[in-house]
Amino acid sequence: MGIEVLAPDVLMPIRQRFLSMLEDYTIQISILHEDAEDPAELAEAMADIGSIAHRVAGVAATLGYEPLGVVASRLDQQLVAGRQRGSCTLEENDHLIRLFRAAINNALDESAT
Amino acid sequence: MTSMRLLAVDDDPVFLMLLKHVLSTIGYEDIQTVNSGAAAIALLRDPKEHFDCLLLDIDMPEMTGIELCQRLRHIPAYRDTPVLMITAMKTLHFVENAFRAGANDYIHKPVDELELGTRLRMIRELLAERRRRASVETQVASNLGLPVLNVTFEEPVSITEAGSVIDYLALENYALTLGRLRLYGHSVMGFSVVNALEIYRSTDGIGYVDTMAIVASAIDRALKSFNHLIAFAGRGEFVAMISQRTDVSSEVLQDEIEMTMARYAAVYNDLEIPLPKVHVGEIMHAGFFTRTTVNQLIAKARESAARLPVFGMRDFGRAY
Repeated sequence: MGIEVLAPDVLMPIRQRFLSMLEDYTIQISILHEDAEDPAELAEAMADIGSIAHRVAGVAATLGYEPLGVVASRLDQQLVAGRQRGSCTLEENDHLIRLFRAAINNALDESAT
Repeated sequence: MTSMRLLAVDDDPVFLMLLKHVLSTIGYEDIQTVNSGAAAIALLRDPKEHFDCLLLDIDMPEMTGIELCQRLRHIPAYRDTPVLMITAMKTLHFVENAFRAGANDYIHKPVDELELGTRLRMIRELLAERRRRASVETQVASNLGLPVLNVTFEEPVSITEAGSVIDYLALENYALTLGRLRLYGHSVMGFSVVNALEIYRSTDGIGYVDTMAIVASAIDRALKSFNHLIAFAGRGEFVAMISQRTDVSSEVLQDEIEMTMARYAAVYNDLEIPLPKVHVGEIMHAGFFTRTTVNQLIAKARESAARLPVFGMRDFGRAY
């Protein structure tokens, strides 16, 4: 049996940068989620959560985190649609935001093992 | 392969790293990246820098990709540079605005290597054709000592003077991004300058393009109550995509266009160029259960405009 030479993971440096940003994002989402409970801060907090979801949706699948990409994309689109309708409440987005956080944590756990 | 120097603009550093990686795997190594519209404008204004193609994210803080696209079109060196918008947003509103701002094409995040490669290959071919034409024009101009715009009758030359007019290739690209459901909610119309060949033969390239730009403005004005995009398709033909399923009367539009064009009658008479006579085709819609492609719909709209009515036709002069 010959020696198996594994191709270097060329995406590794990008993935590591992404994971370090995910760690920041999970903290930011917790803070923004609390902020969103205050009606005065709701719109800005939801826009910032949407911005995080938008960033994650753009790269997660390509870096091997497809479920995270799907949830991020759904949240991004739902928040954009809410803003266009002029109503973007925490209640109607709460479930998807929690799912997004869980998907981020799952991606971080996967990479740690 | 003709090499291209690319500028990518996105506020997400991870996306820029990933994009550089994908581009290098498909043969594009000469890439500069910046993370804001302001940084991009500074770079584009630097005379020492030159980029062949620009890749812009739509959703950026402070200056969006659409605003950036509008602003860079005012920098003379980047008036015609191909712009490819890259975004995760799938909202029609943004797609339309991107094309209206001067974008040439549009792809979605996450970036697909094959799709990006195909779009960039098309842009490379477009640039190669432009370089070939520019070289011929320079040669002719230097031989005659005159400014010359070498335009063939068939080609869809760029006409951007009217607000809703975009390049023909950009219109096709826009239509292709709609998908079947959204295409169903659109209407397509063709407009044909029936004496275009006469006009083409009676003036030089600049005069012909100026005349088609005036026709484009007249069509734009006639469609003012609709959200629309117009493109010049060559051969004196125009295509308009209207963002709603409407049954606007071709005759009403034709009357409006004729009224606008009539204002130019004396000018054209002095220039000894025939006054453009425009025939408006039937409005075309995609059927929801039929598999009409975008290209078929556009082709049908153009055919309808090019086909002159047999009975009760107006005086269209000498048709070709």
